Amino acid sequence: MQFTVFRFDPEVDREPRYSTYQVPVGEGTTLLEALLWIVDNVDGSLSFRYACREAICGACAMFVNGKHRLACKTQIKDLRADEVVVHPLPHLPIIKDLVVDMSGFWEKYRAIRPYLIAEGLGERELYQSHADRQAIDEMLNCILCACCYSSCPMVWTNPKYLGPAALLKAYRFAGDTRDKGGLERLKLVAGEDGVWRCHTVFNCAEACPKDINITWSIQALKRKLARAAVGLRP
Amino acid sequence: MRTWAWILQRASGAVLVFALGLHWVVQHHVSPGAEITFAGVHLKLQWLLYLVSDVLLLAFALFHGLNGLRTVILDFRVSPSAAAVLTVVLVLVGLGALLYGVPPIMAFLRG
Amino acid sequence: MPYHRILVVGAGLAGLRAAIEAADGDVAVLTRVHPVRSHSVAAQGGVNAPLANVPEGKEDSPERHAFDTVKGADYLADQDAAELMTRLAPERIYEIENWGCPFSRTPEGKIAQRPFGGAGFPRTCYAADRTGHAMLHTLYEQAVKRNVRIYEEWLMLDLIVSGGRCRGVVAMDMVSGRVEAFGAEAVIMATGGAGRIYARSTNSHINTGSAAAFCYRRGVPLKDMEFVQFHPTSLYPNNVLISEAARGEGGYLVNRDGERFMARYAPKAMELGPRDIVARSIQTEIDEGRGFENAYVHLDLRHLGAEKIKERLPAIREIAMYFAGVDPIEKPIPIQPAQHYTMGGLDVDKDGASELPGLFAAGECACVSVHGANRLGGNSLLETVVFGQLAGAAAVRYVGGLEKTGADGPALDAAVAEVESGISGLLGREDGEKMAVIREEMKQVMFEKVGIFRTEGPMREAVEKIRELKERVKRARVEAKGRRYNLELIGALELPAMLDLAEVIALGAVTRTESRGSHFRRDYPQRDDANWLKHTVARWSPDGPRLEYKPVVITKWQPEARKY
Repeated sequence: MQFTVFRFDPEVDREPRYSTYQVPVGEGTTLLEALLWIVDNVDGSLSFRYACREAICGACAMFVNGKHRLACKTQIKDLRADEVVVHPLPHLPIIKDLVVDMSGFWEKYRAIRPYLIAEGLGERELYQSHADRQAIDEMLNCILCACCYSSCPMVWTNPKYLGPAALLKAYRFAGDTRDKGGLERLKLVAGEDGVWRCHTVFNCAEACPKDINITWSIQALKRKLARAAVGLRP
Repeated sequence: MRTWAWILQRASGAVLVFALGLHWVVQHHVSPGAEITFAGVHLKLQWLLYLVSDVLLLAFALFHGLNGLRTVILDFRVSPSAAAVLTVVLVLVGLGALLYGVPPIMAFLRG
Repeated sequence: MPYHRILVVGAGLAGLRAAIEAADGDVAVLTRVHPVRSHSVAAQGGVNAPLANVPEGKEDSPERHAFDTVKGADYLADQDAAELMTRLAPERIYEIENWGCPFSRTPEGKIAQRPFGGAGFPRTCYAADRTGHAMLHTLYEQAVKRNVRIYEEWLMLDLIVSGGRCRGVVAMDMVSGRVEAFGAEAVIMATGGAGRIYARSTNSHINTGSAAAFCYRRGVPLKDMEFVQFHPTSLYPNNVLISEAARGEGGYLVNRDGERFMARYAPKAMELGPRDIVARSIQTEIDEGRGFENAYVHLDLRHLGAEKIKERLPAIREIAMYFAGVDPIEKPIPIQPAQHYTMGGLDVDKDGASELPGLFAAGECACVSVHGANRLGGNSLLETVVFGQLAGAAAVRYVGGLEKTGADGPALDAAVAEVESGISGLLGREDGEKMAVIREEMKQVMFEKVGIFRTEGPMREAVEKIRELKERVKRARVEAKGRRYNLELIGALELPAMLDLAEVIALGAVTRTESRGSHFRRDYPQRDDANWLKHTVARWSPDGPRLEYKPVVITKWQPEARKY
C-alpha cells in the first residue's frame, strides 16, 4: 500500500514536501503501526507523536485521507482507499513533519480554570448522585487530542477563540454538581473569545475520535449563561 | 451584553417565525382586497392586522439580521473600541431603515 | 542551564502527585510526553482502597487490604510497606476525589467499588473503566492550578551524581535535539515500567524503562526485577489491555470446548484469582491445545447484558470493537496473556528514598516493595498516589535539611559533554546494523525465554543472547542524522538502557531457583521460603549485574500456601 506523508523540517526545508513509502499492510494493521514500520525499516527521519496505541492518550492525532483521526485507532483497511495520505493536524504550526505545536491549545485549556473549584479537602468524598455523575460522562471522555480544535473554522479565523476542547472542559466542570465555580466559572467563557464565537458548525463533533458531541456542551454553556442573565439558576 | 445579544437573537428568531407565518396568512389568505388593483392594495393597507404583521416583520428582521451581522464581524476579532463603533453604526442603520420603512406601510392609514 | 531544588522525572500519576506535594517550593517536572499522554492514562479497572462503601464490603479494613496484598504478592512484599499503603489509601482516594476525580457512584452517591482479583472484598474504586484517565487528568488539573513548571518532551539520558549525592539529570529536548543538564538537589524518578522490553506487552510505547536504567548505571540498585507481571487478558492480536474489571463485573473465561476452565485452577476464586495464576491457567489451556488458533481463549461478557457493558465497561467495548472488530455484547473477546507490569524497580524505602542521597523514586519504576512477586489489580494506581505523595514530602524534607545548595556547575557540564559525545559518536557512525533489528530480537527472546513459564536452559540462552545484543548495539547505526524530533535517535539512545534491564531481569530469574508469584519455573515449581524469601538486589558493574539479596520485612503474616 502506498503511503504519502507530509514532510517539513523548518530548520532545513524551505517548503513542505511529501515522501512516499510502500508499506506492507495486513488485516488489522493500524496507521500507527504502519508509521512505526516506516521508521524502523525505511526512513528513521519521519517524525510524529504517539504513545499508548489504544486511543486513550491523545498523542497521535493527525489528518488522514481528509479526516481528523487518531493514527492508532485508524485501521488501514477501514479507509477503503488505494493510498493513504497523511498530514499533520491542519491550522497548527508545524514543528516537524506530523508533529505540531500545541502551545496555543494548552494556553486556552489553562484559561478556563481547568480544575474543580471547591472548598478545601474534606474527610470524605463529595457526594454526587449516580445520575449527576453520568450526566457529564461523555464530556469526561475527552483525551485532549486537539482534533476538534484543529477542525473548527472559528479557531482558524480567530486565533484567540477558546475553541471546542477548552469549552468542553469548561462544561465538564460547570456541569459537575461538585463544582462551586458558579457564575465566576461561567464568566471565563462568556467573553468575546468564548462560547459566543461558536456557530454550531459541528466540525468538532464530527472530528472527535471519542465521539463526543462537543457542540452540545458549548450550547449548554450558552444556555447556562442565558439563564443566569435572566435571573434563573444557571 | 454578549449574553443578551445571544438571548435576543434567539428570541427575535422565534418572533420572526411567528411574524412570517402571520404575514403569509394575512397577505395571501385572509386579507381584504385580494385583487391586485389600486383599490385592493388601498383596502389592504388600511387593515390593522396587516400593518402590525408587516411592521413586526420589518423590525425583527432588521434586528435579527443586523445582530447576526455584528456577530459575524466580531468573529474576526475586532478591538473593543471598534466593536463599540460597530454597535453604534448598526443601531443607527437599524433605526434609519425602520424610520425609512414604516411610513410607506402606514401611507394609506389616514385615508 | 535550568535548576530546580526538586526535579520530578515523569508526569504520570506518581510524578504529578509528588510534584503537587512539593509545589509550595521550587519544583519542576520533566517528561518525555505531555503529562496526559503518560501511561497512567491507560489504566482501566480501578484503584483499591478499603472504603467499605458497598454492602458486600462492610467488613473491609486496611488490615484486610494489606493481607490480600501480601498474599497476592506471594509473601515477597514488605509487610510494613503494604500496611502503610493500605492505611493511607482512603486519605489519598478522598483527596483525589475532592480534587475532582469523577469516580463512578453508589446509589447513595458514594464512590462505587467493584470486586477485583485476589481481593477479599469489593474495594476497587472506579471511574467506569477509564480510572487512570480520570485520575491522571485530575492530577494534571491540580498541577496546572498550582502552576507547576513542566518541561514537556524532554527525554532523560543520564543521572548526575557528584560528591556522593544526586545533583540532577541530563536530558534531551526532543523537539530541538538539544542536550541540557537540569541541576537539582533532589530528583524524584517516576518514569513507569519497562514493558516494552517484551514482545507482547499491554504497555504504551513510551514504557521502555530507560530512565530507571540510567539511574541503575550510576549505581542505584534495582530490586526484584525478575518479577514481571503478565496480564491474563490482553486483546488478541495487538495486546491492548482488557481490564480485570471485565472479570470483576462477572466475565467468564472460556476455552475452545466452551468450558470455564478456571474451575480446574482456582475453584473458589474462579476468574477472580490473582493475575499470575489466571495468566498461567490461560497459557496452559493454549499450550495444551484448548485455545483458539493456538493463540487465545475467550473472555465472554455476553451474559452481563448490553446495559451493564455499556455503563461499566464502555472503554473495553470500544477497544474490542476498534481493534478486534468484536462487540462484546454479541461475541466473546479473544484474549491472551501479555506482559503488563514491572513489579521490580529502583530499590527504595517507604519514603521513596534510594540509597543515593537525593534520589527518590515512586510508582512503577520504583520497588518499595508492596507488590512483591505479584501485584494485585487496582494496587498500582493506589501505589502511585500513596508513594508519590510520600516521596514528594520526603524530598521536601531532604532538600530543607541540606546545608549547601545550588547547581553543581562542573559536574553538570561534564555530564552534558559525556552524553553529547555519545550522541555525536552514534550519529557519526555510517555502517552497522539497524537498532530496530536488535530491539526486536531483545523483545522476542525476553517473551519466549523469560516469560510466563521459565526454565533454566532457555533462560541461560536469554542471558547469553542479551549479552550478545549488548555488544552488537555498540556497533549499530542510526540512519537519520538530524537532531530535530528524531525518533530513530531516541530509540537508539534508549535501547542500550533497555538491554541493561533485560539482563537484570533474565539473570535474576535464572538465579532464583524457585517459583513465586509471577516468577514461575517449570524446573522449580514450588515456592522455597527457606532459601528464597528475600529480595533480589542488582547492582551495575562493567561485567554485568552483581546480585545481592536482602530480607523481606514480615510483621503480621507468616508465609502460607497460596490458595484461591
